[in-house]
Amino acid sequence: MVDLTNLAAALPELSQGAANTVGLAVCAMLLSWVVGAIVSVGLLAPVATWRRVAAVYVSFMRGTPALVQLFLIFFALPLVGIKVPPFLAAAITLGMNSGAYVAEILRSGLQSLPPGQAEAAEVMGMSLRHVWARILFPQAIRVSLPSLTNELTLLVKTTPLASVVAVTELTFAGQIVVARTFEPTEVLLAVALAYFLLNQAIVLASGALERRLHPAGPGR
Amino acid sequence: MNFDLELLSYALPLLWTGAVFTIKIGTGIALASAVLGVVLSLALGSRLPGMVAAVRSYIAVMRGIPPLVLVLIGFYVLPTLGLTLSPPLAGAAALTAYFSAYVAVAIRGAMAALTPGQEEAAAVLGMTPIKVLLRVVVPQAWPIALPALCGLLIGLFKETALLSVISVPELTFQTKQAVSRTYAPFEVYLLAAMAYWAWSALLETVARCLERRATHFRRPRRSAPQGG
Repeated sequence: MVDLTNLAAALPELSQGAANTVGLAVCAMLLSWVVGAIVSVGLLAPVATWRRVAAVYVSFMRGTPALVQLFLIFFALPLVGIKVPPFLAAAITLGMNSGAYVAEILRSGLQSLPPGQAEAAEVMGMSLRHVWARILFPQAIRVSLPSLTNELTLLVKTTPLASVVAVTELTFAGQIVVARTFEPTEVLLAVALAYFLLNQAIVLASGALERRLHPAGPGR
Repeated sequence: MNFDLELLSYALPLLWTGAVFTIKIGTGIALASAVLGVVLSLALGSRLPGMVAAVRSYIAVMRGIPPLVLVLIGFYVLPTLGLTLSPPLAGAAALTAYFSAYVAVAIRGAMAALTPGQEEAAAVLGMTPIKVLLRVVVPQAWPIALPALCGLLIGLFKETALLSVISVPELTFQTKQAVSRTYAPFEVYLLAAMAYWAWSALLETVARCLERRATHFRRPRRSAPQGG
């Protein structure tokens, strides 16, 4: 029979883990946007070297498992002299990993924009920085919003990797509780449910955001 | 950073064993999820009461929870239900369940992208449902589904790294073993990353080749006579 008393007693611990998961996801998300924006500009750069560097970055991040990337950053960086606490290592890894996917999404969004706008802006004397920040990126983000929010749900699903380097996010907290109570079924199913609800929340929020930015629907 | 011969001579055999295991278990999971995914996608067109809703909820669950949690559930929860599988089998079962949902979505999406009316026309012509599937639906849906399925395949091999958490002796696990004995984490993890990268690049090349061959009918040869 299902015994929920131990699970109920562990709820504060699991809630703290969930809060850490959200914090980790937010940090990684912000980093992924920054990295993605920079790399997407690189992918579309007129200089071939920048294009190649950006393409190699994307290929590496998408071609290797996030777990191996995490080990590389967490265990290998200290040898080069940089000491990273686990949470930061996880946030950096997940942010850089997701950043590669965000870069591809933004690149295809940028390439879908009509080219005349950038030319007109340059002719009017707008600096390159303004052309990117005021004209290109806002439209690219709007167009790519469904893919970007989808990438966010995938990012949340990579946060359990941080448990491997002992970050007390939700999965790690769940494993601690399982080790203590020997009730894997209740705890792990509760953890899975929490991730599922978090996922649904993101989907609902992104749907609302898309409706606000595109009240008449896409394709306008 | 030093890649001396002694290090390599110790680490490479371990990494090779892990890589071979990864390829074997990845192929197994891919085949199993392909079969299960096809079954699920066909079930989505079923007229049995509740079948479509059941499959949709299954897909929603698999898309909503992280694969690592699913692997842990396969490892810790299945034995309590009486199903004690070895770690590789438990992990493979979890990843199969996970990816089969995505395969089903990809196949269903490809089947839905066909021009409507063909299945009815084929049925009117007297084709049995299986013939309709094999002669009409699959040849058209295959080129549409192929890019998505290849992307899933590449992702699948990367997710096998998660199995190291439950001590399955695949590449990432063997890498950790090699690191613990050589005390050279950066070099060894870099080797492992290169191995995964090379494998992903190989799969991508094969995928592009398959996609070109699958869409041959859409690209006329230049030597074909044009007009009169």
